[in-house]
Amino acid sequence: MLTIMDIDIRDLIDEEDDDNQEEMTAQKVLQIVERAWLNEKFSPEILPHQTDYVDCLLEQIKGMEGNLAKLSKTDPKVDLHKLELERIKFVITSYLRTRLKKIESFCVRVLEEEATRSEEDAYLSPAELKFAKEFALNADNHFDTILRHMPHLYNKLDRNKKIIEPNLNSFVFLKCNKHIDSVIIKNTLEGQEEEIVLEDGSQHLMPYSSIAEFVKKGTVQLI
Amino acid sequence: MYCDKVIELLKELERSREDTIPPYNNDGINHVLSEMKTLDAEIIDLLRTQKDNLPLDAIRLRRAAIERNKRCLLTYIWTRIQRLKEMRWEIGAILPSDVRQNLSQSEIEWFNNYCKTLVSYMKTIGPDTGLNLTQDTKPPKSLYTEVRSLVDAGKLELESGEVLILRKNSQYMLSRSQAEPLIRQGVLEQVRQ
Amino acid sequence: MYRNIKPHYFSIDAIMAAQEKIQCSFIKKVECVDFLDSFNPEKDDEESDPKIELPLWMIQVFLAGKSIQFDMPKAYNEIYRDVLTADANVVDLFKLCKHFYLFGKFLSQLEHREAYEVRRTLIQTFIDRFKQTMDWAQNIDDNLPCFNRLDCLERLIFNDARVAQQHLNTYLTEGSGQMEIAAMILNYRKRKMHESRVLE
Repeated sequence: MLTIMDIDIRDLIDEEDDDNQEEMTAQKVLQIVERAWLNEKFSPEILPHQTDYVDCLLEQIKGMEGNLAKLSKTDPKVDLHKLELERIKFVITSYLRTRLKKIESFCVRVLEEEATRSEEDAYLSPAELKFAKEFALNADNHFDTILRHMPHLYNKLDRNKKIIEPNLNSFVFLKCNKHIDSVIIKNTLEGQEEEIVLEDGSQHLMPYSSIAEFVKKGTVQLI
Repeated sequence: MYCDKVIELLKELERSREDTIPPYNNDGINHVLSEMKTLDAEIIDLLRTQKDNLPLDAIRLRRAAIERNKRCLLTYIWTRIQRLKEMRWEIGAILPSDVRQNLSQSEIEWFNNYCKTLVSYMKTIGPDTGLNLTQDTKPPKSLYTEVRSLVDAGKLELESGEVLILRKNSQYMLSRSQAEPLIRQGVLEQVRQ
Repeated sequence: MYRNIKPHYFSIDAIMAAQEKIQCSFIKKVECVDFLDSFNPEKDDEESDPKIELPLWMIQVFLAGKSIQFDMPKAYNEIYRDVLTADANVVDLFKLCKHFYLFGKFLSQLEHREAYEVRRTLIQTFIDRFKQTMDWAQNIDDNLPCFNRLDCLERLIFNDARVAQQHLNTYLTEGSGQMEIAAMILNYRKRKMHESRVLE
């Protein structure tokens, strides 16, 4: 999929677009978004958002679509590029959909955790945050229509009951991008801990909780 | 015994298929709410009349029954909402009338609000008017796809400006993005390669 | 969705598992609960205490007040534990107890002298049966008789495995990307057709 982009991207991007703030080529942005997509698909919890890259990619797609429209309709490259763009759009919609489902499933928890983070460290994009808040409010209002008919002592739903959380010990497949000296695996059956080393390029199957921080930093890729 | 009625409500839900919503059992719910009120009144009564020798087990049991009724009722409405949510993604913002008639007023309101929230979020994606996340559910293999119309669906304007008349059992070549929503709705079917 | 999500308040399975009945007898008199009046302990003779079957959630309340003692239900007693240890695969878990693992988990969390053994048996049974469940799921044709012997948790796993296998098969033969009518709409239509046929 990347090969077409490699060869022909220069045909399609206008000269002027080359000097944008990021020194990123379209394929680098696409790679980041693809990796984010895979990580998001396989991780049980929601990960830090990559909205900037997604938006950038969508801008570039828009630009490329504009350029394609100028080319002759009978040029066989046109269809090939259009298909490429469709495939990229698929990755983006799948990525955003996966995130939305997690936000909906774990809404209360996600909002709580997000409230403890600063704007730069936010996991949710501003639009996602707004969505989450509205979704939570909608659910609360709906529950209220039945709660308010219950005896006084019981007519509220505590936070503890509302919480639905991902199981962070779910097993995930991963690949290492860098050598990691120490990863701790908790063996829950016997209550022991094991410390292992992950070599660059190696692939493993282990509990997500052991490598969560590495996924978020980019040293490990979920597959 | 306590909480029997509420379990019946949940069993009704369990028996129904996961992609349907059975009629909102208002009577059942009211029955359970009334049981909760009775139990609460009994606790208050016990606390008042037996305060020198509190029957702890009896009070604990009634409290547990109230909490269980509460949990079951909320699970009932929560489960229905999950199914409704799934319908928005699978069917769209307009529900068939016989699904709508099974919903309570509050559920209809929830659904409308959910649609609004979803659309409002999708509009913010990207540089233009947004991205429809309910589309592109499968990886695209080609730009165009051969489809067969399952019904007489009338006029369809293509992206090229051309207008097609969709007749039952006729085959057409459409762009994938235009065909997808119609395939999902069951108007067209993709011809298998 | 049971995978990747911790057990939570709104789980119908957990509620139903807590509804399973357990045989028990009272060791302390319980006042002011009408339906229990005839089951209160008589004198000091434990043997003749009337037994009653109560759901798990009620038993939990009485255990807190130390008013009750219970017997491990049939599916988790010593006899069945031995059967499961010998060959877990032959047992019809659904018939034995629909929510075998979930109910068993709750049971093993109560105070009872056999709780630890029950926990061990649950884990071992799951491990022993897992391979067979997976094998069945991956051979798509006619699994119904096998499916009926699985408990609720195993059924969820089985269905997931089957769907995954079907996806893999489709991918290997046709490639992905085949667009289809939304499953909900298809099922809705099938139901409508069935209803109209029934009415004729």
